Amino acid sequence: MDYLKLLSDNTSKILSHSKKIRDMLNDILDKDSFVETDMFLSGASMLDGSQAYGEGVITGYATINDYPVCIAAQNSEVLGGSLSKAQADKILKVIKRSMETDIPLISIIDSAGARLGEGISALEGYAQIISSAAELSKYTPHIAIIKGNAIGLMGMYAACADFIFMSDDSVLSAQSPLTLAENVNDIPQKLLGGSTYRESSLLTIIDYKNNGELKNKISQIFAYTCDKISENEDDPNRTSDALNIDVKSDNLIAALADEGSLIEMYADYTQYTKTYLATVNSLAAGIVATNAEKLTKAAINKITAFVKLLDKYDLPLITLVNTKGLEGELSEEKQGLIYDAAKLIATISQTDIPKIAVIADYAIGYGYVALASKSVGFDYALAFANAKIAPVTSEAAASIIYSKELKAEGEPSEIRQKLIEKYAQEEMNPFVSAKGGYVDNIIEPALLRPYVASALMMLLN
Amino acid sequence: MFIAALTVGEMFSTGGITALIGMGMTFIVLALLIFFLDAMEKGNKLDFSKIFGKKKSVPKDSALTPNVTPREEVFSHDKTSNEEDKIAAIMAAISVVMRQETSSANKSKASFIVKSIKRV
Repeated sequence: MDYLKLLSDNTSKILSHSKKIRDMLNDILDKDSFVETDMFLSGASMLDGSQAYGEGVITGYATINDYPVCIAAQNSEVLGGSLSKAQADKILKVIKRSMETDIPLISIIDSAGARLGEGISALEGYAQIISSAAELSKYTPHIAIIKGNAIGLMGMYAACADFIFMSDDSVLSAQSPLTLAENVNDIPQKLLGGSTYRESSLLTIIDYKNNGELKNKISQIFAYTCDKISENEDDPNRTSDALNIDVKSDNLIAALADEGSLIEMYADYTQYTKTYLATVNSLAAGIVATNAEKLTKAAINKITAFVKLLDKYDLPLITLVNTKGLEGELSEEKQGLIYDAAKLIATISQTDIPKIAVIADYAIGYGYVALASKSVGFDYALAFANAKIAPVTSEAAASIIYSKELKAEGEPSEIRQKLIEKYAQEEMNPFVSAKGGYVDNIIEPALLRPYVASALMMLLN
Repeated sequence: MFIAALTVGEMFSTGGITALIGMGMTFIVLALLIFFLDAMEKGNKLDFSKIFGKKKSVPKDSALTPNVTPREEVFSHDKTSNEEDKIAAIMAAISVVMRQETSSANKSKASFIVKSIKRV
C-alpha cells in the first residue's frame, strides 16, 4: 500500500472542501506559518451520512505578525459549519492547548447552528466550548472573528471572547431567524447584524472592512494586551495649543494619544463617554473621556466594563474628566442608577492598575469622586488651570450658600448671576483643591501630553 | 596707441588691465568710505569740549549775537518720501522679527522633556 499516496489523497479531499476559509487564513496569518492539527478528524452526518471533512472546522497554530496564535476556524463548506460533538471536541482541544501555553486563541465563526442529527450530543458540545471559552479568558486573550453567521449558542461562544471582529457580512444573534420570523414579519438586517449588539450591549465589537485591516487590528490588540507597548514615532513632548481654547473630548484625545494608536471600545454604546485603547509615548493604556454631560447609567456601565477590561490586561487607566455629575432624570433612578454608580467606584478602587486623572473642565460631585479622587485610587491627579472642582454646580451652590442674600434682594437674575460667578471663582478653581493636596499639579491645557506621558513612565517604572 | 592698430590679443590685455584697475579703485574708495564712517562714529562719541576747551558763550543780548530767524528749509518731496518709505520698511521688518520672537516665547513648553520609549 502506498501510504504517501493515501496521505496525499486524503489531504486533497480535505483541502478541496475548505477553500474559502483557507484563503482567509492565508490573508490573516503570516506566510507559511500555519500548522494544521487534527486534519483527518472526521465523522459523518447522522441524517444523510454525508462526509463531514475535518468536522467542519480547521484547527492548528500559526503566527500573526510574529505573535503566536492558536486557531479554530469553522468551515461553512462542510455541512454549513454546523456544530457536532466531534467538532466541539476538536475546538476544545485547541482551547486547552491555548490555556496551557498562554497563547491567544483566534476563533473564526461561520456556522449554520447545531447538527440536528446529533441531538443532545451537540448541545453538550456547545456547553463544553462555551464554558471553556469563559475559562480561557482568565489566561490569555480570545479573539472571535465572525466571518458569517454566529447564531444562537455559537453567538454566545463568540460573546465569551474578549474581542469580537465583525464585518458588514457578519450576523450575531441569540435567536435563529426562523424563530424570530414567527414574531416579526420583516426582520431587518440591523436586527440580526452586529449593530444591535453594538448599541445595546457591552460586547467589545471592532469593525473590519477587509482581511488586511483585520490582521493589522489583531496585531495592534496583541501589542497592547500582551506586550503592553507598541512603538510609535509621535513625540511625547508634543503640545496642543488648541486645548487652551477648547477642551472638548475629541481635542483632548487627539492631543494625548499617539497618532494612529486609537482603538475605540464599545463605540456605539452611548455617545456621552468615549473609551479607547491607545498608546501614550508607545505605552499601552486605556483612556476614558467624558463629555461635559451628566453621567447616565449607560455611561457609567461603559466605564465599569472598560476598567474591568484594563484590569484584566494590567493596562493603566487615564481619565479625562469633564462632567457635571450624575444624571438627574427620574427614569435613571428607576433603572437602578445608584447600584451602577456604586459599582463603578468599587471597581476602580479594587483594581491595582496605575490610574491617572486629568480634570479638563468640570469635575462635580460624583464625577470627581469616581473619576479623579485620590481616595478612590487615582495615583496621580492633574487639573487644567481653568478646571472647576466642587461638590455641586455653581448654580446649585449659589442657591444654597447665598440663599439669604437672594431672598433679601427678591432673587433678581443679575445678582443671582453675580453670586454664581463669585462661587465659581472663589470655590471651584483648582487651586482650592491643590491647597488640600487633592490635585498633584495644575497645568496649562496645552501641556497635557508631556505631563501624562511623564506620569505614565513614572508609574510604570 | 590707436585701437585700430592693436591686435586682438593686445586689445584683450588692455581691457583686462583697465578692468582690474577699475575694480581696485572701487575697493580703495570703499575702504576709504568705511574708514571715514568709522572715524565719524568715533568722533560723535568724543566730547569735543574737553579736547578743544569750552567755547565762550556769547551773551544773549550782545550785538554779536545774530538775530537770526530760522530759515524755512525746503525739503524736496521725493527725498522725504524715500526716507519715509525706508523707515516704514525698517519698522515693518523689526515688527516681524519681534512677533516671531514673541510667538516663540509664548509657545507652550513644559519645564521638562519626556524621553521617547524605543524597543531595544
